[in-house]
Amino acid sequence: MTGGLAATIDVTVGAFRLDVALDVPPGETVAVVGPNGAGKTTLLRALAGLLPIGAGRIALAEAVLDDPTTGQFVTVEERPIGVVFQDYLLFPHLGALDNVAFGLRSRGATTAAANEQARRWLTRVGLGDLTKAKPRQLSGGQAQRVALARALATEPTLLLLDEPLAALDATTRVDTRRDLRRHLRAHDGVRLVITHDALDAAALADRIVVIEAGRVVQQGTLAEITARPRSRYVADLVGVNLLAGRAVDGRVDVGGLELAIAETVGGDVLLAIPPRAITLSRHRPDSTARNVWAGVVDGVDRSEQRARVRVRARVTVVAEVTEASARELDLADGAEVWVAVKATEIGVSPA
Amino acid sequence: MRRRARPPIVAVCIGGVAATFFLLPLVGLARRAPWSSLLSDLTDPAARTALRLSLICSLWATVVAVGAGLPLAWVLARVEFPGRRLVRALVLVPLVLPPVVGGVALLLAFGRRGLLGQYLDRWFGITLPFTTAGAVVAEAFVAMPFLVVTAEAAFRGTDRRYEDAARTLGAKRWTVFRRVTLPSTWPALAAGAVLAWARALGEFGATITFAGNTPGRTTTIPLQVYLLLESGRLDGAIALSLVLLGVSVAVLALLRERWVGAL
Repeated sequence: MTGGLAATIDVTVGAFRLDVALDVPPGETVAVVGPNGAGKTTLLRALAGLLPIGAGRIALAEAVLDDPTTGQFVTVEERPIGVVFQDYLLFPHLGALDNVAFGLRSRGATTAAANEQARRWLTRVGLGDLTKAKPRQLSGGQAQRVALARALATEPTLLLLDEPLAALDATTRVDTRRDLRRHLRAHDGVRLVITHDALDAAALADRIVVIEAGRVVQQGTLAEITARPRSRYVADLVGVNLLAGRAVDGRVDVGGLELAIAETVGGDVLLAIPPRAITLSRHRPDSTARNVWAGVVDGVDRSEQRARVRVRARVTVVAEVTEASARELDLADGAEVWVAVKATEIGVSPA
Repeated sequence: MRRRARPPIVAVCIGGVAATFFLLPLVGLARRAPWSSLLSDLTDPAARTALRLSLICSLWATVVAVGAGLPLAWVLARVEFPGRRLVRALVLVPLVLPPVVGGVALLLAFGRRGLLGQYLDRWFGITLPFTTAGAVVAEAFVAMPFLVVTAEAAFRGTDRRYEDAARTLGAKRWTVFRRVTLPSTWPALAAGAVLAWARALGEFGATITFAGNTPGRTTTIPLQVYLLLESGRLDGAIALSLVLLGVSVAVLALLRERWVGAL
């Protein structure tokens, strides 16, 4: 692997210890997911150089940024990084253009050159006409775009985003997420997104790294993690079945399967079905659930009390049932089962 | 209808007396003020010299207080070092020390035979006591704490994450200070500077002890007021007092928002 991020980080802050390894090739977006206090922000601060590591090594594009054994430490201001902070942290006394130009000017560009380039970046994020606006005059979505432009303007090798969508309301979030994905794809360095939202991780990242209590508990693509979540937290968070489809009049076509939903949206949508909301039975259920279909068991993952069952049909979903009912239903690979989901249990988000 | 609680009479009475205690001297000053001869009292050569000297000394003292006090305030707010609490307490000494004692202490430090003063004299030929520079030193000594305390509070109160953000954008320390910290703290810093200036302008005890009372060199307004009173020229003393009172009222008006906000 050349040019990517290779980090082994061992750092202690108070009573908390973060001990993770992370390898990200250029051009890949990794989502770091974890509950509050898992060490996500500590990880970001260590990568950015705001927190020197206690042991390990951080290398980016073949250059060592932090290595306590050799004493090598590249300071924050000299690292080729761009950070989009959680609350954006746009400088309140500067206009949008000056905010975006800040990094360029700090790195030695003349005011004219910096402004010129900042203007181009603002235009790229669709805010070419808001150059003078102060941060407090910007909406949440606009502020997020300015923060992104500011981080990208210095063309960093490593782009770090800390909960870039968390501060936005649901409607803004959908558009901003789509644009963010486009800008991330266009950036050719290493991209790292910290989030606690499965949908954000799924939409933005190629790979997901889950950390809990300072350790990496699991990593892989969303599909891999969904199939075999290794902890309760992961199961709850990314264990959700995410299905893409097209909605018309409260019905969604998902790969040929038609599902009823409780919301009136149209167009491309993402559906989220929690595995525990799915009921399985061996015979066609006499149920009030509006969504019922037949499928074939394609893998059963048993833990102490629960079993996660993959059911293949036109779409594949994972259902979670108790270990007792899995035994009772005799759910083995190849078994034919009926799947039932209430319309109200399906989360809907425009894609 | 609920009966309104009766105000506590005793406290109201004593409070009224206390308020009058503050008001009465001002009334006395205004009532006795030589309004008709005010202009000639203030343009009198000795008064003009004192006014000019006061302005120069207090501004230089403010420059010294800001120039030395800002870095000190920043270090106290941002750098952890052993003895930081001690230094913080040290900064407050001139606030509680009687100014006369401050003047004596300055003499023992910067006088011709003082701790540092002997070397200033021997090596550089610099003598501070009884010079205008000495008056500036005395004023800066009593004024700087106001600047340091205000500025330190401002630096500690800023959201450090903005400075982190600036550093990730490649800004070096000085750039971070100039383009991020300073813009977010300047109202507080300006208030601190104004307070320090006002304190320097009114300085009496340390100045007269350390710098003496030489007209044209160290006789600032407060010292001139004292001289005039001693020689029985009450009108001139009141006229200059009114100038200082006016400055105080102006500073109060200027910083009222900040103080009311802080209370």
